Amino acid sequence: MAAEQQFLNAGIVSLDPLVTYTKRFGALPVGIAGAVPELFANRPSLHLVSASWFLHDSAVDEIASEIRRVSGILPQAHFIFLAASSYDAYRLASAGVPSFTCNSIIFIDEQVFRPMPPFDGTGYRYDAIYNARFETYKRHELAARIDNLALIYDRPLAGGVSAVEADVRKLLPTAHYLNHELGAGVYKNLNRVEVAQQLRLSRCGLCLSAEEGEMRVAMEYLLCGLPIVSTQSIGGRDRYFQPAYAIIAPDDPEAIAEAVKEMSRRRINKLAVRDHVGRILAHERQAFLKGLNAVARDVFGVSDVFGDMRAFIHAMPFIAPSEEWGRRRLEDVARALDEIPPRGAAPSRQAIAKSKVEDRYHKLFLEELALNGIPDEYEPGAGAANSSLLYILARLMRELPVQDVVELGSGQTSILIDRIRKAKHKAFEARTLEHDRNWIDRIGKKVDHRTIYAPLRKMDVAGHEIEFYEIANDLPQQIDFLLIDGPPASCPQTRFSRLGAATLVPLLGSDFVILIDDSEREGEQLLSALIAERLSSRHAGYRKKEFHGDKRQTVFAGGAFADAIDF
Amino acid sequence: MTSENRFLNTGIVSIDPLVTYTKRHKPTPIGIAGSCPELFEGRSSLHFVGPVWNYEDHDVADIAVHWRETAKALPDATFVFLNSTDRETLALSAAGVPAITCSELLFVDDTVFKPYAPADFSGAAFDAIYVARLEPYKRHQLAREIENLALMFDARFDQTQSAYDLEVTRLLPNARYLNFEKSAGQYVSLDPDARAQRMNQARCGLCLSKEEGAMRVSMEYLMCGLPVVTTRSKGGRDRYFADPYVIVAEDDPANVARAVREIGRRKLSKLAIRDHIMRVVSFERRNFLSFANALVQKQFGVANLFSSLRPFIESWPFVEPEAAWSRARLKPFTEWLRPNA
Repeated sequence: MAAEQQFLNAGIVSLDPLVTYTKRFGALPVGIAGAVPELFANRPSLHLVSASWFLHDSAVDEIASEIRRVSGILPQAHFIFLAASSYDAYRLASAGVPSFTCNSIIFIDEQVFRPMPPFDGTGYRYDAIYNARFETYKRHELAARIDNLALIYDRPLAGGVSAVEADVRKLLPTAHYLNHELGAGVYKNLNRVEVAQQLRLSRCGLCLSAEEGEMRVAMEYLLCGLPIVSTQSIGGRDRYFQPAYAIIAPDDPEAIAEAVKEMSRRRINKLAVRDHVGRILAHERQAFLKGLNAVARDVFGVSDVFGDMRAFIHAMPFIAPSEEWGRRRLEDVARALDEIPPRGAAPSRQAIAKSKVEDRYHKLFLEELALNGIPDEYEPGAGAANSSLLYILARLMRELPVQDVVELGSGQTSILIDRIRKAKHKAFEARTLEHDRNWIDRIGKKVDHRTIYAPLRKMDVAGHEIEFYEIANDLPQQIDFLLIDGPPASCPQTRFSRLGAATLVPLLGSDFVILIDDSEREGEQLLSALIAERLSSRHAGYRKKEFHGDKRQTVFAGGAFADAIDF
Repeated sequence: MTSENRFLNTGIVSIDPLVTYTKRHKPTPIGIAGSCPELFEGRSSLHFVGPVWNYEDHDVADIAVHWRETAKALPDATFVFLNSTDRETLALSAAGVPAITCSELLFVDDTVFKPYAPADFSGAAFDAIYVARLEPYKRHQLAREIENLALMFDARFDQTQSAYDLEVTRLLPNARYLNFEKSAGQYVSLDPDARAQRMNQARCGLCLSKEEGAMRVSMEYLMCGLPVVTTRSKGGRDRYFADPYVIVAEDDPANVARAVREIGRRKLSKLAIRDHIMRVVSFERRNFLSFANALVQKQFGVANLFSSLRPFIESWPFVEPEAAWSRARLKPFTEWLRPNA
């Protein structure tokens, strides 16, 4: 259900489930989630972000990096970066930023910006209108040859007249400065309805910058039925420009003026422009809602979160957590969220099927614990060892006469290894490697076997530059059980970090087991392929099996251990 | 220079610079470059890869693995995956795979699939037409209560009849099997012009599967000015569906038949449907063209390579390197690559 206006004012387009739409600008590289992550802790959330300026390549890299950072803090947060164009979507995808194309000027209120009479080509007061801040990038000077020009603009925050405005007034002395004309000589802010009323008096709208954001004003012109004269630009505004109602003119005042005259000669019908753009707008909005609702269903298990565009039309996506007014709005949101218990995603059919399998594995794991005489102190689940991993580990370690166990990455499996080792009267050695000092200290207090702090270092494996454990002389000469559950590999940038485990294949004994967790993921699939290749090249016969619970595990077993995977 | 016909029929939309548009299907999981990398070694190339079916999670993982392997083997190649839905684009982009949403329905030939008079459906020979392979996923049974139904389909390559073929003829005994008319009861494949003419004889087109690819036929109907009765579906065909020229019916024969009658009652005009769909298609085509040319500029330094999407519309994007027919089509390309070999 879409949010009330007080939450829309903070970029919250749905409170429950929690969905935001905010802008990338200033100190907010990916909008609200990065700025105030504490608002989104402990519950799934979906964050739509759009750019406020053309995305240079460095911006794309920054977005990718920031999403990784925030995802580390908020593992239940999902992002969609709304790309202004297909080319931006391509660049974002190439950087691993979850995104699709949605130019945010489709969120403009078409009920406010609409053609107003007269529709018969009479009643025009201006040849062209330019609704643009007095900033140098807006290039007002390109309008210098237009005979009958109107301007709408913002007042400088500090009041008075800015240097840019002063220059524009010298360059365009005969233009109609509408904010002052309508204010009887004093600056008057025009609301959206008043802006629309002025647009209707103009034959065309101007877009003169070379680079900016998507430029909402361009869509405001079109929805009011105004054709457009524009320069070439980057930033996304040209997505909706088509002949005959848009002319792209060279960056020259004479060419712009000539284009304005040409547009006047075309006598384009306002209602025809509105009808055409309105159809495109409806199509793009329908596609956006379909895509968004499909993703929301995946994230929250809720269908049709958004029935229409209202939340996006009325949302205020620019937030300012450092300003008093911005903080107050976010406090309202925080108070409202306190009233709503965190929602887990409702299970999909696939999830229900998976959880039945997971239940079976959990029962089998409990049986293994009983066979080992070990109490149940485990909580399998998302982000931790799941039941199939625990079961496979417990069963193989019970059945096989392992001597040297090496575990990459610490967690509940470290505790399980310790308990089995004690149940077997410490019949084998075990080592757990971990890169996180805090984690290794905590696990070290709970287990008796060796826990080794192994910081990550850069290495190249199979053409991938990764960070893997620094392994000095910490490993046994022959490993017979290798559990691969680290380093972290869940983000696009770290997805291949476990490839380093393939370098340990030469340390395997003639009887061995390798157990790979999370093997449904791309990085682990490549790891499996590398391991298979290296086992084959050392002429080690082996067998391989996959287990499918909530996550997938792959087991390689060789020598006398090969048949142990037949379960 | 964009492609001549002999290269288009194997997915080469431009020969120099080298640009391909091929499909992800079993023989070529990431299109021609993934399965025939030797053809592209040592030269700059750009590859658009489209789907034949909607993508599940394992497809995304497979594409990511295959693409990375191929990109490493062909460092001078650039790939873009064209998806039917934003959900698939999001999944691929999250995996770092270069992808955009661009439905293959934009590549349906609007010069062939177009309205024929009369524009108001008066005198229409059929209440509905279903252009669909005789495969179970097409769910022909949902059409069994339509009174005046026409069917068109592609036969199997080996011309055999399956159990489902017989099931359809049993379920729809009164339907007009258009591939058998005017040919003394023998199956005849109908070319695109013939298909367009026959579509124009119906009041609406049917889309009855629950899940498939984007379904080119759905756009063929719309470009002919036909409204559509569809079931809910996965695969992306609904991107271009809108009121009042599409009705989404529940998955049962009575509701489908009711929807067909309802859409027949609406005073729709083929020309209005055609006009609307072509505005939307033209808009998306312009933006894809702009994107494709931007990529070409970046890859090859060539401006405005594609003046239109005709190469994409006319190309045959299926390559099967193990099949003789496909190898025959590739021969001119391999000869062009190595003229002195």
